[in-house]
Amino acid sequence: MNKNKIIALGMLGLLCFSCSANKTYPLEDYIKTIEFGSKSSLNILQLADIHFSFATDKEEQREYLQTLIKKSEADIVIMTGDQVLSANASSYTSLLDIIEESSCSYFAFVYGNHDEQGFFDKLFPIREGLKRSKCLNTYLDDDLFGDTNFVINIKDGAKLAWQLYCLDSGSLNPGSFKIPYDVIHDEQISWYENQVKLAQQSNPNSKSLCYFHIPLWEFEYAYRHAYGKADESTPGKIRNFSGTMNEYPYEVEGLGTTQVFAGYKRTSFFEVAEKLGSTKAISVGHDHKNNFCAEYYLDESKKDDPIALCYGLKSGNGLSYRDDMQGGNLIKINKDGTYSMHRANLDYSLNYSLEALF
Amino acid sequence: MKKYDYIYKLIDALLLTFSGLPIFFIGWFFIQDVGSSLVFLPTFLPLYLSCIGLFYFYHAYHFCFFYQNRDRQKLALKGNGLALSILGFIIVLLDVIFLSNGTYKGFIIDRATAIYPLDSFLLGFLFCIVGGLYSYFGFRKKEFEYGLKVGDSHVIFAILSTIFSLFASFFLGDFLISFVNFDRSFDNFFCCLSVYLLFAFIPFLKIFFVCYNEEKEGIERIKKGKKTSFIFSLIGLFLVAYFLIVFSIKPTFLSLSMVGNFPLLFMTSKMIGPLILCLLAILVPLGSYIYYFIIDYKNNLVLAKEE
Repeated sequence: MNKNKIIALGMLGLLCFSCSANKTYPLEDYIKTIEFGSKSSLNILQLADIHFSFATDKEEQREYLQTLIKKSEADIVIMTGDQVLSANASSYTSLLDIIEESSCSYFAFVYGNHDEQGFFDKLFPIREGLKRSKCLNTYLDDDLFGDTNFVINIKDGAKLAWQLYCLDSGSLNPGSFKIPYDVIHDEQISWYENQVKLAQQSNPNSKSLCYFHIPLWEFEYAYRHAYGKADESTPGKIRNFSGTMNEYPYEVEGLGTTQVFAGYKRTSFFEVAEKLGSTKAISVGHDHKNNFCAEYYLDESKKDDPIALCYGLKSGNGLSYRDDMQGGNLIKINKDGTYSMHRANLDYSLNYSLEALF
Repeated sequence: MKKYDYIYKLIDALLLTFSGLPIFFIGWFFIQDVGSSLVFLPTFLPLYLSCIGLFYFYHAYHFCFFYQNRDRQKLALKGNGLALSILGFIIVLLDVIFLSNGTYKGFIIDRATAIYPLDSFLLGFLFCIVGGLYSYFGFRKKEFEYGLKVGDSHVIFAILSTIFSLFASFFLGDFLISFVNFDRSFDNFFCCLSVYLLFAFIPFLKIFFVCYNEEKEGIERIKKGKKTSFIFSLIGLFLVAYFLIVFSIKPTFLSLSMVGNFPLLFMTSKMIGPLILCLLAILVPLGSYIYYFIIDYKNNLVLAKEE
């Protein structure tokens, strides 16, 4: 074999080695389906930023979380990221056991920016979650950015009534010494768009809720409108709002000084969601001391049907928190497509109250 | 007893390694405790003292068994023995208090580690026993015959070396824990490799110095030190350059594959961990080279004047 052939074979080998097969899956593979059954409505409780760690008093947290789930009569629990920080494997399994053993019928979780910060491998939380019978997560070893992108279909008989979109909003976007937060990537936005269009083929009037961790820039815009800080350049408008933001001011390049620890750039996610018309609420976590919620729209034609941008109440006393902002957000979805949104407040003396978001 | 010298060095390297994971763990713990306004510090004070104690345990051994002269060794045995015993006693006392007042509901409370506070109890007793032994050998009249004679070094060098050992332990622990979450690096292997090499390089500098250069004296120490420092400076520069190149090509590999390795980065959103890693990889061998270069230069000047 001459030298040129050897080199060519070597290059071919390198080329084959460096090329990895595309890993894409049909949209349907990301979906798990549940039903209203005999119930006319389902309660979806969002638990945000639970932050279990090595030091967590698990018995105290068990009592707190299971009380919150029971008092809110939650059917589905969605954990919107930062379930742990500085955790070992038993931190995550303990939390999943607490939720599994609670009174809810189902649960699911997305990753926040801290969920992989522990002494366990990357897919451990998902593997453990999927061992639990109530877990509605779907995991596919795909090329789509993130590990917690999936859909929960909620059917009323044969009709698709509601969808819950769960997305992985990433962690950080390193590029310099000061590192901004990541965003929902364009490929995830395309995936979401395709999923909604698929659902609308089944039922054009199906509605959806979105859950992820890191808030959009639109949260800051809505806040500026709510508190008279908007100017002509501030996109969109709001119809209604409640709550406040108490995080310390933070600089996001392009967004300015904000109390929203948003991603490093404005994405088209909200715009796409508004255009499709399916999503009624976007629920996030990440900023423990914010409980701001607003009905926000970009397009004037959507002013009577805005999307609710909601910070979930911080669920527990892990890491930083405010005593008056603990619990979870509760969305009650009905078979007929109507819904209502509340804050389910619960403190560590187990005093519970429900408060309408709007 | 030159043929047993390697045993002292082996124990030294092993103790540095064993201090790595606890230092890494307590570093993580402390960072999240700071994020929680230090709410866990009072309850977990024995844990903090145990982990730091393991690091001190390594240093106590080093100071007692790597001596400059027998008088100093006796002093080291007395001082470190007493300190280790007192530390062990405090740990055990705190554990007993917390058990008595109900802060800890039992010997295993399923918090912090798998067997906490039992592990801190055992470590406390270990420190008491070993500290007691050191003190015994330090205070008794008979000469202590064990250990490895090393060259003279300035007290500032000893302080800097101790501080460097803390970072070396942390990054060694980081390197060891990477074997648990190694699968995250598959998608960005050649990028992550740059970090793994830096993780291994930092403690290697410490271990190499102890095994190769610390026992040398005089001109030989200076010449060898200068030569090895120069070589390691080049290696450090190469490793840092490798990291910077892959970081400039794909900066997101840190957030995709190394979330579990840089607690400060992900808590503060600043590149503190990688920056410290790069600075240590360059500045420590370079600083060492400059030090030996200056001493060698001064010695040569003195020799030239004498001639």
